[in-house]
Amino acid sequence: MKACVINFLGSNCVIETKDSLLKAGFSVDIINQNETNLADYSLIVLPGGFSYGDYVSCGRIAKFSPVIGAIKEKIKQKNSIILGICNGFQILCEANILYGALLENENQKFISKDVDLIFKDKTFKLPIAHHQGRYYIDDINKIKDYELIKYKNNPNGSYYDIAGLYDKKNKVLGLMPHPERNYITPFKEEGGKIIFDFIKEELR
Amino acid sequence: MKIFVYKIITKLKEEIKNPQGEVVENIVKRLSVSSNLKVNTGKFYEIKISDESRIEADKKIEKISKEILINPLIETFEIINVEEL
Repeated sequence: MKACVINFLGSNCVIETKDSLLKAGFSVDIINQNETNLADYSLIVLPGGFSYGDYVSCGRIAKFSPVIGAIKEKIKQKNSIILGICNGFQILCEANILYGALLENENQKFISKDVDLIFKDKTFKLPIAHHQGRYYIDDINKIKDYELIKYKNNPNGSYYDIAGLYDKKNKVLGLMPHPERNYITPFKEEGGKIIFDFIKEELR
Repeated sequence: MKIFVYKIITKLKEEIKNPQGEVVENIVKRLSVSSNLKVNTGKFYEIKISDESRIEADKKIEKISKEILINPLIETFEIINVEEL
């Protein structure tokens, strides 16, 4: 299976994301924000980082990239998964590909630590590293068909303890924690493996 | 062509918890300046734009504000001043 990692101007988690996808068994291309041909890819990853310097707001400027239009078209074909990690999740929300928004953390601090997560009755650890990760939603009914990844001990004030979302219908997964960092770290791969195994299962 | 200067503020919707505002409130209370206040925070933009008319410039500023300066789910914008140079 073929995956791509989109290297937006200011993305800085491209290499470890690529390495984790290779470990998960994908062949991987790194593309940039101007790419509009996504036909080859069954997994499209928007990695972490600081696209466009987080100017105006995290993910706000990246949503105008040509690749975002191509992703919206690709979703309609229902033959791929879109994965947004951290800044990638922020971009997906800003582009209205996933519902909701990411606000500054309630404690106003950049939080970098391992957190306990709950997803599909499994509990596991993944690292977070963000300043704007407080998930906000005005009406929980709008995501009633999504599968949720939840914090066990909410670190940033996210509404309903939400750390990530999977829109099963459109096959779009966004999460603030970093499965790729965990997956390529020796002896710490469990949480990352759960996320990448889930993606591979959904692609079957 | 006319040149207009727009001053625009954006801020979080009032129903959304704003920790920066709360920090200012707490300091004001601690310094005994006032105990009865509500603080919201936001951003300020000044945009200079050339156009045929004020009506056309207004339309463009509205589009810029709605699509780039704010996320309508969480923020609002207000044009607080317009000047023609």
